[in-house]
Amino acid sequence: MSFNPFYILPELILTAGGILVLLAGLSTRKWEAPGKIKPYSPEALALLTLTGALASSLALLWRPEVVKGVSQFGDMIAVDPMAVFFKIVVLACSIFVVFLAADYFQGIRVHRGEFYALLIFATLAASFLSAATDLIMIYLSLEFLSITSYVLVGWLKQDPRSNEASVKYFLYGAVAAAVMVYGMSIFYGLAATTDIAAIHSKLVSYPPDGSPTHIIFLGLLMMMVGFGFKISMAPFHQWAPDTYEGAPTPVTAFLSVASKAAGFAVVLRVLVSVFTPGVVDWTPMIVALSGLTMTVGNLTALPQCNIKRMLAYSSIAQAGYLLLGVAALRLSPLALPAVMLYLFIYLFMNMGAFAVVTMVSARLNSDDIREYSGLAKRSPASAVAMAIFMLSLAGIPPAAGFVGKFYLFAAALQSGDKTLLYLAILAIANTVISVYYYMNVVRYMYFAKPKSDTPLKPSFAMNMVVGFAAAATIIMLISPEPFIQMAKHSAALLTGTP
Amino acid sequence: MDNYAYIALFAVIGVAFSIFVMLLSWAIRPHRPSKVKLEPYECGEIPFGNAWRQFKVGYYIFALVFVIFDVEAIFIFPWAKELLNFKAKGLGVFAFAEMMIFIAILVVGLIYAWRKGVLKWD
Repeated sequence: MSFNPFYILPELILTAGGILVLLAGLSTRKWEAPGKIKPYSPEALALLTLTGALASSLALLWRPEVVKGVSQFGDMIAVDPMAVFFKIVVLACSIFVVFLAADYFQGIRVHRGEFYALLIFATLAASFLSAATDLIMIYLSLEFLSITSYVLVGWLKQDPRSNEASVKYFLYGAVAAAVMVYGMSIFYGLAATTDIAAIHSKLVSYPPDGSPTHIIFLGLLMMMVGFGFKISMAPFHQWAPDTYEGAPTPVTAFLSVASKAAGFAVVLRVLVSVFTPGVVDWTPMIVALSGLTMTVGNLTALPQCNIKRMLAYSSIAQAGYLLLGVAALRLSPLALPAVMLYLFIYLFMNMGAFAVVTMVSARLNSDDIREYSGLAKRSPASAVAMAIFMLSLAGIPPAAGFVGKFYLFAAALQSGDKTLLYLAILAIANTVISVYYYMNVVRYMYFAKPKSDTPLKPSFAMNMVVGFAAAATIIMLISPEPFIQMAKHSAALLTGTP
Repeated sequence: MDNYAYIALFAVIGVAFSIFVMLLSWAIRPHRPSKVKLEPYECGEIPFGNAWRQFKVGYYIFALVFVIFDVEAIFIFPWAKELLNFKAKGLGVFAFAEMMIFIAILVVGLIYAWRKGVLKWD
């Protein structure tokens, strides 16, 4: 397949835009406070770049050949509906993050140009990761995403906790990447190629009794360490709470949605395209990891007093629910669309929750859940929106999280597998546990006495962002049909079908 | 598996040979220590103080900026050698433009470092 710049237009726009933002950042004064978003400011340029990339990703969907899938750069990346879907999720998340960062960095002395440039480069890495079809490309884009994230996490140079978060993230990431590369080397050793389609055809070519199943399983397990680190899957989740707490809140939001979505993209692609039935049966492994992840996440979220820490454990638990869908991938055709639909809903509900957290922490300078006391009086609109996001994350009907969970559990039940049935029951029990800590925030907002009555005034942009996320969360519950259709159409891969 | 056996053999012989050479030189060398000989080697300078002291961070930043252009050179040498072959295949403009884009991206790095005052040695 010959090279066509149209297929990588989103990435080209991000590269050029990232460099422009970097240069624009040089001309703004070092410690200048952002205030309003001016044209030519790093914020405006970053928004323009990300919106352009989002538009060109959407334009890809209208090309008939993309629906079948196109391969670029000698099978390094695939331009197929799944890749485009994850690009859209990642880009939408980054657009949210720009708005959050513009609010968060008011009054904080940081370098802004570099922040947005790195954010765009991290987005670029995540978009390559969601399209990578070669072990080298997967490794490079995963490391690209990790390294930019380490720097973004440690952005508050004066804050020791931000530095600590960055170092912890880096140490865990380095070890996870090393183990992952070891796993990849096993597949290179078996197949003498790094292309995942070619590895797959080598793995299925073994005679049934002569297949090196144990080595394949070991290699897969080691690769799952690297992927599990990105999606904060237990037992590779320990970095998440400290990193989420110490990082600037917009960066936390990026890690919990964009980074996680890109990680799920690569997990789905590798599991679906390489480890088809007959190569190795990974369903029991994913079932165990899913059960562990959701239980660990939910039980440790219960006693948290810091809202970012609570949302960190909540995002670990959410990864567990998503893994439930991944576990059902082989047995139910509903599973892949269900995972993608849930990620799409998760994008809006989690970004919305982080938008409110950013708004509150920029004004009260605290992430303590007790600071949310009486938010219903101090900022009624934010409190209503936050209640919607919390309900949605808990999966309670008046918000879209319910639809997402319903489809995930339905996929598990449709598979007809006993262990998946037990896992679905465990997931429902976990959902009930999670209601406690999500509703705890709502309890503080509506029923606790506020420390002061001064109203919090979110900026117009923040109101718009929170309102948009809340509206999207409600709309996806009222009429989920178009979104389910979208997920079903996007659940098509260039290599292999579930 | 046979290929891995060669690697193992290579590793064993490599380690054994180094140990053998070190033992040999230890066995046959004369042993006459003096104060000057036992000092740590610092490029002929007379050592002073402890090695665990603060260094000027500027050294590292200069080294980093140097690495960027070092890598650039590694890419440019083979490209320059092959450019005529590309031209013969009708890919001359393409290959030229690709390298110019690559250099332009690195120049942005230089401009960035320069504007940040990294190149000033105060």
